[in-house]
Amino acid sequence: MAVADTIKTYITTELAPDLDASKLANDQSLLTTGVLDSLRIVKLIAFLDDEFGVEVTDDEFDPDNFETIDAIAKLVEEKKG
Amino acid sequence: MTVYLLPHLLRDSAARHPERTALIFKGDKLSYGELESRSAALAAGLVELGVAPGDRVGTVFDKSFDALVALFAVMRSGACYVPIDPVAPTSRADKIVRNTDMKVLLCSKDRAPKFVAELDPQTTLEHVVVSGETTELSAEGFAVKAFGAVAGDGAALVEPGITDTYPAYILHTSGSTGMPKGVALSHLNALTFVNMAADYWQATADDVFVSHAPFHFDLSVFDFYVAFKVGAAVALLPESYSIFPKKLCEYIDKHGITVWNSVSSVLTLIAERGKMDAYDLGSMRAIIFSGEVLPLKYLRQLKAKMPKAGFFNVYGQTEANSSMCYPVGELPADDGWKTPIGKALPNFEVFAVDGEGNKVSAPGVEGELYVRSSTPALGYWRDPERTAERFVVDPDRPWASTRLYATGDLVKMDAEGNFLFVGRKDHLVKSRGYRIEIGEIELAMNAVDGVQQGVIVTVPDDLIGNRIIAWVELDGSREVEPNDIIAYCRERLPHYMVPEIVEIETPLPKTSTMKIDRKGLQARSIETHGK
Repeated sequence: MAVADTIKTYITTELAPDLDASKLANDQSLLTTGVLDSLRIVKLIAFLDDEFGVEVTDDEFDPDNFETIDAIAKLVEEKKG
Repeated sequence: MTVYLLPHLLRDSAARHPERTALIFKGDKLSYGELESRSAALAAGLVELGVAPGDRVGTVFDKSFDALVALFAVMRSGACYVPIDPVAPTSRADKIVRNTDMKVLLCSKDRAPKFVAELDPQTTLEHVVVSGETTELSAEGFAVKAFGAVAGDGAALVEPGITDTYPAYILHTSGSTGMPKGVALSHLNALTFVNMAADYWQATADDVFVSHAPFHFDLSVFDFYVAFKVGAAVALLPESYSIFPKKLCEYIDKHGITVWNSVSSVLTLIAERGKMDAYDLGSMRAIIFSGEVLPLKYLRQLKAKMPKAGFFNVYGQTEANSSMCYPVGELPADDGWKTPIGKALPNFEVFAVDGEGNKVSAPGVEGELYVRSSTPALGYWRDPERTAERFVVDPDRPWASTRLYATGDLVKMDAEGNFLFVGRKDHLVKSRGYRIEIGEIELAMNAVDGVQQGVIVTVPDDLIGNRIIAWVELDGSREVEPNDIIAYCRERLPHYMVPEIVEIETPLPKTSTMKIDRKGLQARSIETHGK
């Protein structure tokens, strides 16, 4: 499965199960819609580590990298190199 | 002096120095003069629409210039504003519209498509007014117009034509009946606090306040009213920054923030992950935190990085504003030390009453905290019963019509006369700085088809205060997954009230009196999910 799909599945099944995966676009804001809050983002970061072996540094922990599913996938892909 | 209301704080500062910066947002600035004339123009438009003194007008805004234009326009029209959480489910907004018989709702253009499409057309709502010059939106059941189409020219100053006993705003908090409770605060209630706070924290026109709390949260009252009273600037922090601690430090550095007011957990985040060394945080001079305990180890780190700043642990509720304060001095060596909630602020009196109804005077004795001031709210909107429960006759002045606010918080005094928070008399908990009636969450869970009964327990957490864990017993009529319950709650409750984890166990363990064993469930939850 593509990185973005894996992240979307995790968000819509574990973090925000009320969200319909088919209605959550990859370029939709996760931050201004309350999909990601302080607790969920911590869980998401742990998931990125478990699933992709990607450790998000303090410098990368930035709204630009977590605004959308696309942005998170891009970060993961860059770090996996 | 004629009647003085909250919007007059802006009017007077704008008259004194119209060119000074009132608001800063994403690189833009808005002057006092401009904010004043924009809100005056919209106020005139609201009056044209039929908004009358005493009316309730809803506001749905993220941080923006338009948000402040809207709040001041509403107050200037003589109505009171009713802020609605822009990310809360629309069904909750419908409840608030109904609860307050709202006819007009002001909404940001970013949030409007969702709200206009989803709001119940069968309520009292007649007009939704959307920020911006024009709008393409329309709906059945209510008219949709843009600020630009409604606003007058702003030349005529609308005077509200009310006294300072009228509600200025109604803030909705969690209610155990499933209906949010509307706390109605008058202009006098708010000004008693604002005037005191400006003096106590020595605010000046050179300060830069941060506006961290959203508008539906009462901490926001301090940020812009205190700033506007003295002609200071307010930097409106974008909501999404608050979960990125580094961004917060960058923001403080970039804007030279001098006065910070937020829930404690945000400061914990800054200390823990904000990379404070990489930024200049030296501008900070007053740091006010509340809502939950700020662990001492983080307080120590913050003090080291912001040597000029005074740190103030502030205590209060929406119903009576912030009544107590503990200015943090030298920190004890023991990291287990818990910051007291302190002593009454000027304009307030507080005291504790024990189980027998006697005032507590000795250190160490527990009692319920009462607040005496002109800040306690008018009451719960249209809920005389609950108002009578919490706003009580003053035992020292049984003849007087003024009321005390009974906080429901249990406190005790230390040897220096500072109060310490002990716990709650009821099932109210705090999470992310918000007060939550766990009964409201339980009511929502119990409505899920297939659920026999659900209870909420809390697991203490350094960062957010309390994590919300649900235990649910099923009735066997159908299969229910934990995620079904979470999804149901998310459609009905604000995000901070939705259980983080749902454990299904049928039947739930009972005590000898056949009540659900909440203590046992809490102990198991802490074992599994605590740190």
